[in-house]
Amino acid sequence: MSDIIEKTLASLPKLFSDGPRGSPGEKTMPQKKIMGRAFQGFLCSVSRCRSLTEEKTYITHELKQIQESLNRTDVSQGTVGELLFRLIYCHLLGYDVSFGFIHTIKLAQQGTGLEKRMGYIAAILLLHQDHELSLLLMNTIQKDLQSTNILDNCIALSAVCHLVQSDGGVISMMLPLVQKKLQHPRELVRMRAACCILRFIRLTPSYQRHLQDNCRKLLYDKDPGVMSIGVKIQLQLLKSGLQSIETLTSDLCSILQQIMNRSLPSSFEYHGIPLPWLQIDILRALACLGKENKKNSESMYPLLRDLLDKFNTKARMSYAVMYECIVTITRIVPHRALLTEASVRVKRFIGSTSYVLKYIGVKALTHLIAVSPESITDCQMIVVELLEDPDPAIQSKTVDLLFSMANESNVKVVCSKLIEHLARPRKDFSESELIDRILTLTEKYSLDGVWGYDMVLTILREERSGLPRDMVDRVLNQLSQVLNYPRDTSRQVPEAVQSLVKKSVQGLFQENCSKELVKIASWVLSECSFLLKNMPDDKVMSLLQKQFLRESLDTLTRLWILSCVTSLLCGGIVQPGVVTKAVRDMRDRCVSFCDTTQDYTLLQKLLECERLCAQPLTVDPQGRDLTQFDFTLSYLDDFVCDSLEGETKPYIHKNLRMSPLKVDPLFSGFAENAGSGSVASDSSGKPTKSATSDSKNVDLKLEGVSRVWGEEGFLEPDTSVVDSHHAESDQKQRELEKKQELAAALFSGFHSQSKSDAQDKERKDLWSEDVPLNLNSTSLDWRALSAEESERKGSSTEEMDRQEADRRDPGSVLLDLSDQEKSTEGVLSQDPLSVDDTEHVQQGHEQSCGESQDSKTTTHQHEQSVGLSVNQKGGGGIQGMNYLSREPPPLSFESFPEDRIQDSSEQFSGLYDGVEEEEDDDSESQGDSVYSLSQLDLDTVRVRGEVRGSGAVCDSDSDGGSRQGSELSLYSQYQVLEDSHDSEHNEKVS
Amino acid sequence: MMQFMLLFSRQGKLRLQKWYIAHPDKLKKKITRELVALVLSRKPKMCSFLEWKDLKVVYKRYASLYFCCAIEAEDNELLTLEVIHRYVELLDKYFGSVCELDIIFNFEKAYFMLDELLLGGEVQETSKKNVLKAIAAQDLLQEESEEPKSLLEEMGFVSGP
Repeated sequence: MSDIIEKTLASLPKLFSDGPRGSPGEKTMPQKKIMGRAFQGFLCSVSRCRSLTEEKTYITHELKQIQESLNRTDVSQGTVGELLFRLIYCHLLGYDVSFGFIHTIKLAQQGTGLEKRMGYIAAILLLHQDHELSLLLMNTIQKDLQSTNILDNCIALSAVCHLVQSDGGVISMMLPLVQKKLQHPRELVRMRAACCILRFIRLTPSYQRHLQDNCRKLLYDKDPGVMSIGVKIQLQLLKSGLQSIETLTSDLCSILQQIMNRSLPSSFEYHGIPLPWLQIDILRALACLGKENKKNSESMYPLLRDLLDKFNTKARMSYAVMYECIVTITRIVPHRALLTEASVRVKRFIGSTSYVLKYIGVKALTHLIAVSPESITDCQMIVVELLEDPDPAIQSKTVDLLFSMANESNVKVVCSKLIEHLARPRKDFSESELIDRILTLTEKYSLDGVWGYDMVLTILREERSGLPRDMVDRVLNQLSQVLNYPRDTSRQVPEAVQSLVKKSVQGLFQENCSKELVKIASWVLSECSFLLKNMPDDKVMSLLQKQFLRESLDTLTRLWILSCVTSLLCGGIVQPGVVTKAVRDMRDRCVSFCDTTQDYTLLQKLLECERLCAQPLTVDPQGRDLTQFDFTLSYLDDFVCDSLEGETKPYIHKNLRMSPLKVDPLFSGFAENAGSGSVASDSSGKPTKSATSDSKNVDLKLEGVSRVWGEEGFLEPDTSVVDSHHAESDQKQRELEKKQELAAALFSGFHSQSKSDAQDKERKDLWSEDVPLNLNSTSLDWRALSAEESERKGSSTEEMDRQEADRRDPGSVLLDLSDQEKSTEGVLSQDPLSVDDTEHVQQGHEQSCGESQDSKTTTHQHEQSVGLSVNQKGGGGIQGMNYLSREPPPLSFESFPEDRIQDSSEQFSGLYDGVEEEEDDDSESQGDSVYSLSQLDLDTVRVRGEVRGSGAVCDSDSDGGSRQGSELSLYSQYQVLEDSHDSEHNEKVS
Repeated sequence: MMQFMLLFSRQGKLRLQKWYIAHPDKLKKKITRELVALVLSRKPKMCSFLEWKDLKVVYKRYASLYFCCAIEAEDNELLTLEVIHRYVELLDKYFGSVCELDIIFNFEKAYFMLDELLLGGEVQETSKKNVLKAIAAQDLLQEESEEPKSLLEEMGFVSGP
């Protein structure tokens, strides 16, 4: 099928270029066209245009003609419709067709039937909700909503969906009409009305409360299509946090159960999967409901488990549902066994050869890792390989995964990988996010500060456009924690601080580092200026000077450098003479390269520096407290007195001044003095340490500094070890080793965790014990929750049985139910996951049946046993399985030996916990001859039949009694068939 | 919620566009241009998903036509891929065996069908049968007098029977 399409489509361009000589093929067009010959001719001429200019001349000419014709009054409505569709085509090609907008509205208003429809379609396509002209259509929409014509209703509702805008009273005007349509007898209309409601809720959340009742009713609609929209609306309500109905969980669960039992019409199946869209919406809603809600989560567990087991892995759609199911499992209150199951599925996703599935697998793993970190241990190698994947989309998803799996022990490797990723060519918007993530990691796991600083320096090694805005602040915050060690002359400066300074100097040696690096490094140098004592002053100064004179720097960064120079000077690290020379040089250059716009801030700061050099202000090495600031400015007293004795006027406050004063010499001098004073107090306020005690510890070797810098990497020691070990082995082996090394480093945090987890599990599985799988909470039937309390126990064991049987026979995943859809199935390539493990189970199944059955009937049996009783195509004794798909017939409480039931129910709940435990229980139960659980479903049914026979409790009356509730259910019509089969079976068994 | 859907040929010619969010035409054109270039530059072995600005782009190539949808960050990509597939199935069923020319010359039908499938960016009708029924009902609206003309005949590729 797909081949044919492929061929037909592949020959098309040739057909176009070759013209009549190309072989046309036998293409039939059964359906009628709306447009006439002229329209087709128009399209042909457009597609015949050889060049863009030719097309442009033709279309501008055509548009002019269309405009003329539209403005004429004698054209028929059909012609107007055709002209409008020409406009749509021109619009598609990118031409301006705004002159036709008003005609679309006119046609929708005046036309009837098809013409009206064409007008609406054109309006929907050409206008949008914020367009001013769309308001003109509202009156027409209202009229058509009240019409008795269903098609008019439908198209008007579509228009409401597309064109009603959020503000203004338009929604409130439309709402009553749309609400009325929710009661329309035809589901086609109801569905569209429901879509409109969903749209309204999205646009104006304030309507949510008002519409809640309507939305609730939609959930019980008898048409599955309308119900799907109802679930969508509930999901929207849940997301906005407004929904608080208690019974919603059980309702959604029972809908899901029904879908899984295939009690809904088969026309809603998609490639053999019943209502996948609805399933996904329900799963999402359940994820919202079960989040941090233990009670809700518990009622979902059995259902989710069932769903995971039932997947038909041949259809692509089932992967979508499976992914959503896994996400739901990770969102709700965690359940160990389910998470283990989910991790098995995720592994298959990731190991798939299909890129699409790999991508989804990585996404699912990212979700999974947040709740159960140990699940990743099995797919280490795959993850490491995915990091090197040629597809950037998969790479970026893997980076997400890395970020979420970072922990104390692997954070260094993760970060180095992230930085490696940063070096690859990419778009700007993801760069910012990536840097943000690295920063977050360094903040979260700041082991010693030095490593984090290293990361930052690596990021900033070159100019980047996508840096987070608060990056410098975040880094400085982090650094100040490291620098904030107890200042004590007797103790040595911590190793970390020394290396910070060393790295800053190294960083400044780079010619083209980013300006953020310059800022951060100069801040570090000024904070720890005392550590630079050993460095020759001219070297430090020339370093700063070189950075200062870089053309690409802005004023702000230069000011950072200057304040660093100032604090070095005040700390007595550099000699005033050296600084004066350097500052003069800087000023000259500064004036020369910014001649057009003088940068006065910079010049002033430079002058201040020069002043400071002239009167060197040595700072008390022990540092002074902030309290020692001289806020009265007493040191200016002499100066002020001298000036006042002269001709100068006293200072008048700005508010008291009547007219703007001329700036007199007093204030110009004042500014400079105050400036230098503030600088001095600034640096003196900083607690600095006596340089004499440190001089021994600090030895900054500046030769070869850049070389060390360039080769620094985290994996280097590891790989070199590996290389030496495997020097003789071939290249491939070495690469593999490298990857394993990386994997070991990456997943180091998870090994220990998982080990301890395993131990935990051996001892006692706490999680699964305190969460009993109470199956009564999920009714099998649509809202038929009326099973009597006295019957609960009996039915629960049966349900357990059924669940057990389902779970034990994953052979059903091999079932191909997509026969009906086969005609188009081939269009997509299929990527089935491996289902090896299911095969041997199936073999066991066949043996246990003890009959000569081919595999087809075996799977068929299973299909029925799990309640896939839609098709009813099985014959003979196999039909006996049928009643399992329904709510099991109740067992009379009195006549059944009570201890036995309890015994079995305990067994079953134990069985449900985990695979390991299951086998133990199996062996036990084999001793118990009645409940031989190692047999598969057919046997289980027989056994149950025996039990019933002996108990003489199973008669059709009680069977019918329990279903009285379900008679009221909305989907009872789909269950009639099953009922008849059930009774048939009951007779047989008993 | 789906943001928009684009159909374009391997040559980068737009064949169909449907927007579920309000953008001015200028922005639409810019987005289309960027996206078409991005998708066309992808290699066949790469996966069908892309992250583009704050959206996710899901595309799939059927013969010479690319179907490309933009969805929101929390949407399910695989599901969107199946929506595209469902649309192709519908087109296929309706046109016999669909090809690019069918969509060019009957784009109004393609729009009708898309409207039946998706409404306001959400999947509306999940039953294939119901969609085809709705389209058939619309076809009945057409005048009976109009005679079906073969597409190829129209183009002058073959002489009429």
